[in-house]
Formats: sequence, structure tokens, C-alpha cells
Amino acid sequence: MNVSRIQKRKGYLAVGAAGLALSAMYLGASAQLPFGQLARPGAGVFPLIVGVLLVIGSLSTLWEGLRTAIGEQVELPAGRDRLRLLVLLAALFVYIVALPWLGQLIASALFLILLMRVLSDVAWPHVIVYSLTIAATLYAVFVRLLNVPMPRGILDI
Amino acid sequence: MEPIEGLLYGLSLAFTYQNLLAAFAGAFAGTAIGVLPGFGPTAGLALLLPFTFAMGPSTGLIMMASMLYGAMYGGSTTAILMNMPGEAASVMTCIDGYKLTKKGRAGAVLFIVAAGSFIGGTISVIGVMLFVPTLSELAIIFGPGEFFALTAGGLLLLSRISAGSVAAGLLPMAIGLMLSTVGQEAVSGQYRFTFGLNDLSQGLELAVLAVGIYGIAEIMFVVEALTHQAKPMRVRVREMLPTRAEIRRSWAPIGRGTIVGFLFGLIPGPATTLSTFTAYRLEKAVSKYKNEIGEGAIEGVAAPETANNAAATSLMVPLLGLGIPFSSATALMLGAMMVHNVQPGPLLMTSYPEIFWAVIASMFIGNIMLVVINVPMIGLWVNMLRIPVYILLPTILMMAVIGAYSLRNSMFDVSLLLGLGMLGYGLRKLEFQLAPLVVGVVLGPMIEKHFREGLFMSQGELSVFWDSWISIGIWCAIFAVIVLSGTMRMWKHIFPPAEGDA
Repeated sequence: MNVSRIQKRKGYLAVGAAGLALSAMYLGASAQLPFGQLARPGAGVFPLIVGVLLVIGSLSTLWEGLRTAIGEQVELPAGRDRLRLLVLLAALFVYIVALPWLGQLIASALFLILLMRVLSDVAWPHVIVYSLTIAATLYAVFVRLLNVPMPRGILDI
Repeated sequence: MEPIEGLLYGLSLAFTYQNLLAAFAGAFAGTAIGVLPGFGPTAGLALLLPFTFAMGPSTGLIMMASMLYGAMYGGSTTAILMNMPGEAASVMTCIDGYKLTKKGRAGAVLFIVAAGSFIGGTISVIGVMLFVPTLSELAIIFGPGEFFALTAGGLLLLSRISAGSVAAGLLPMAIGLMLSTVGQEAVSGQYRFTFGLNDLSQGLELAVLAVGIYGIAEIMFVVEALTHQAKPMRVRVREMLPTRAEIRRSWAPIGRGTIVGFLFGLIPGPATTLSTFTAYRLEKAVSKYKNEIGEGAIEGVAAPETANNAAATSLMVPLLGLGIPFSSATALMLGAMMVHNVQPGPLLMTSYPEIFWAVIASMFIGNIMLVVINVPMIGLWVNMLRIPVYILLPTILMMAVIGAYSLRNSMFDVSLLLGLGMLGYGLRKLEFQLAPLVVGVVLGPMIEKHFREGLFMSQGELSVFWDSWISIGIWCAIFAVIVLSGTMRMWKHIFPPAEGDA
């Protein structure tokens, strides 16, 4: 894998800060819930405890981030490897958006063609044959045989 | 029900064609997941989970259990033939396994590993069968205080044991608990944190969460590190006969591995992986051939591979005896049962004896099936390692999407997959642990229930959580383990082990 490195310290500090922001929002929303009394605790009591745990978890992340040596690094993909990962995520995103419109069969076939091409250097004709075979098999098994009501799309397939 | 009577009853249930098929399909899929590097058993269980909802609770559970111990069988194949762990519990197997392969003993090692896994798995099922009834009888007298200690304390212990640092376990645990509070709350029916979204009113779907955070994240890891696949060597079935010396040397490590594995399955934590490390170190300390371990000794393979199978089986004890999951795998299994309104708790065995005994009996059958799947059919798995990633990955991804959608026919759930996948990927990159998150989601509602019941019954007296000897005992045991593991870590930090002392 081609790697680019980020400092682990920065990663931890960012996660800790995000965690604190999340806990603030969560605790804010918990405060709207009824607390009841100690003998009859309401729906807000447990979230309050969880919120406090979230604060402790975030603070300990920040603390560990500050204590992490500058030299410690996390490896992230770079170059072609990063591109491949980003294409995977983008393709998955487009697939999810397109699924209700195009329906399971067509959306999957297109998604598979794109993804296989990105993951390999196999020639287009092969990629198309493999993708169509897999998409059709999955469609036959899950949608037709097992009756999973996947979106059928505007073409109603 | 007496064990023998129960087992016969279980066998009569396990020998129905659905349950036999479920055990076989689970064992087969589990071996495949074990064999494929980069795709672990938890991700496999997560992917399987939505499809088990269509089956009965016992059938679903049988399939998931056999998938889990099947993955332990399969993981060793890749480790031995390609020096690459098929899953995390096969890391130790690579060391001696691959060296033995280079010496031309691959077939024999695979045979001994299958035999060891079978023995470890089977003895462990007997242990589960004898241990669970006693445990659940004891647990019937438990009140909310004891259950709170078990669930909350168990989760805390899991978050501490599975992670290297405090934050790496605590933060994911808190996130998991937070996610568990989304949706309609059980006691008063109040909606919490749904932001007016209908899709969130029933909470997050456990299967979606697990598929996203484990499955999609693992696919991302495979995609970023895509390299040309190494080709495994061929193994012929007739090369699989071990020599007499190899068999003689394997008995003791298999015995020790079974005990180590069984014990690790009982405590919260990544039991299968930890058991292999411990079993390997134990061999290095006590084996007659300890000097050869690390250079290609059968002991270094037989012990850890037996241990992970024993652990994959005994981790069913807390699940079946107490109704509490102590690992992400059993958390998903509990999810599969709860969909069918099977209430978790110590009454599981008494209220649903058919589930308990069918699962136990099927584990005996599953282990026999796995020997057949793994020994005479070894060629199939070697060929499977030749299937290109560009075919496998997109297919798995499609199945993840279909599985996530099928639960509630919701595109919202499908889109969650992407977000959760990225969350899982990010957390893993920074070495945060995912098990406390998933187990937190499952245990969250149980912890809240016991907490509120306890306060309700004691009229608001907080001492209800530590007023019995049992709860005090549970808390003391949990803190003792946490302190002990912390001390051991500090010890290692101050006195690092010498070079080469793996």
C-alpha cells in the first residue's frame, strides 16, 4: 500500500474534540427528557449517565492524544490506493442514491461493472460479463427466490 | 432436563433438515470466511444476521454458532499455507504453521489442526452442556442488582480487556451505549433522540450497525491494501497423513489448548484471539519441545488452533446461561434471538429448552461436519483462495446492501451502512476497539432495564446495586481482573520482553 502518514496525536485530539461536541449535543437532548424521581427514574436518567460516560471517554481520548509522542503515526492510503478507496465510497454512495430509481437489478449491474474495473485491470468485456452474471444471480436468488422486496425502480423490474 | 436426556432431545431437533442444513451452511460459510484473509468472523456473522431473521430462533442460532467455530477451522488454512492469518485468531498459527509448510508438512499440519479443532470444540461443547444448567440455576435467584453488576460490569471489563489504552475501549463503549438509547424506550414508551425521523423510532437496527461498522469497514481495509494475490500451494488429501511422532507430540498441546480456550470463552473480551496467544505462550513455557517452537513445531500450531475452537464454543456459556453477550459475536447471536421475541436472561434455558438443546446438539454435529469440510475438501478451499478479490468483494458488498435493506425495507438503513462503515474504518485506523461499541448497543437496553428496575424495587435506594454478596462478588471479580490486566501491562511496559521472546 502507498501510505501517507498523519500524527496519531492529531487523530486522537480530533476524535476527542468531536466526542466532546457530541456529548454536549447528546446531554442537551437528554435534558429535554423527563427525569422522574430516584424511586421512579424517568426516560432521561440513563441517557444522562451515558452522556457523562461519553464526556469521560472523550476527555480520556484527549488526554491520551496529548500524551502520545509526536513521532507516533497512523498510516493512511495514498496515491492510487487512496483513489481506489474514494472511488469505492463514491460508487457506493451513488449506488444507494440510484437504487430506488434504477431498481436492484440495473443499479447493481452498473455498480459491479464500475467497481470491478476499479479493483482490477481485467478487460471491459470480461468485467461486463462477470458483473451481469453476479447481478443476475443475486437478483434471482434474493429477489425472485427469497422474495426480498428490493426497490424495483422506474422500470419496475 | 438431565444432560443425556437433553442431548437426545436436542439431537431429535438438530436432525431436522432445516437445522442440519443450517449447521452445514454455517460451517461452510464460516470456513470460507476463515479462509479469506481480511474478512473476519464478526463481519461474516453481521452479514449473515439479516438472513437469519427469516429462520426460526434455533435455526438462526445454529447457523451463526457453526459459522463462528467454522471460521476458526478455516482461518488456520490460510495461515499455514500462505503465512497470512485468515482471521485474527490465526495470527499465532502463521509462525510455526508456515515453517512446517516450507518443510513439506503442510498436509499433515492441516490434518492435526482439524483434529485438534474437533477435539477442542467437542470437549468445549460438553463443558457448555454441563456448565450452563448450573449457571442458569444460580442466576434464577439474581435480582436487578446482580444483573446490573453482570451487564454493566461485564461491558466495562470488555472495554478494558479488548483495548490497549483506556480511551480506546471507553469511548467506543460510550458511543455504543449512546446509540442504544435511540428510539422508543421500553418502560414508558417515550421516543428518545429520534429527531422526528420515523426511521429512528424503533432504534438502530443491530444488523445494520454491525454490517456497517465491521463489514463495510473491513471491505475498505481490503480495498486500500489491494495487492496481487499470492497463490497458495496445492495440498493433496493423501499427503495429509501425519507421522506417528507428529500425532504423539500433538496430544498434550491439544489438551492444554482445550482448557485455555474453554476458560477464555467464559470471560468478556476477544476470547478467540486472546486464547491463541495464551495457548502459544503456554506451550513455549511448558512443552517438552519448547526450543523448537517458533522454528516450525507442531505444538505451536496444535495448541492455539485447538484453543480458538474451544473458546469459540465456550463463549456460548454466558449467552445461553445468563442471556448476556460478552463478545460481539454473541451480541449478534442475541440479536438474532430477540427478533423472535426470545427474552434474554437466565430463564432462556428453562423457557426455551428447545433452543438450548438444539444448539448444543448441533454443535456436536457441526464439528463433525467441519472435519469433513476441512480435511477431504481441502482442495476446494485452496482453490477458493484463487478467486480474485474483484469478484469476491463486490459480491459481498451487494449482499451487505440486500441484507441491510431486507430488515425493514428501508433505504435509510442502507445509507446508514455507508456512514457506519466510515466510522468503523476511522475508529479502527486509530486503534479504537469496535467490540465494546457493538456489545454496548446490545447491552445498553438491558443495563438500563436492570438499573431502573433496581431503583424502582428499592424505592430509590442506590445500595440495591451492591447489597448482596453475589453483586459484591461480581464487582470485586471485575475490578480484580481490570487491575490485574493493568498491572501486567505496566509490568510489560517497565520490563519489556527480550527480543525474540514472542
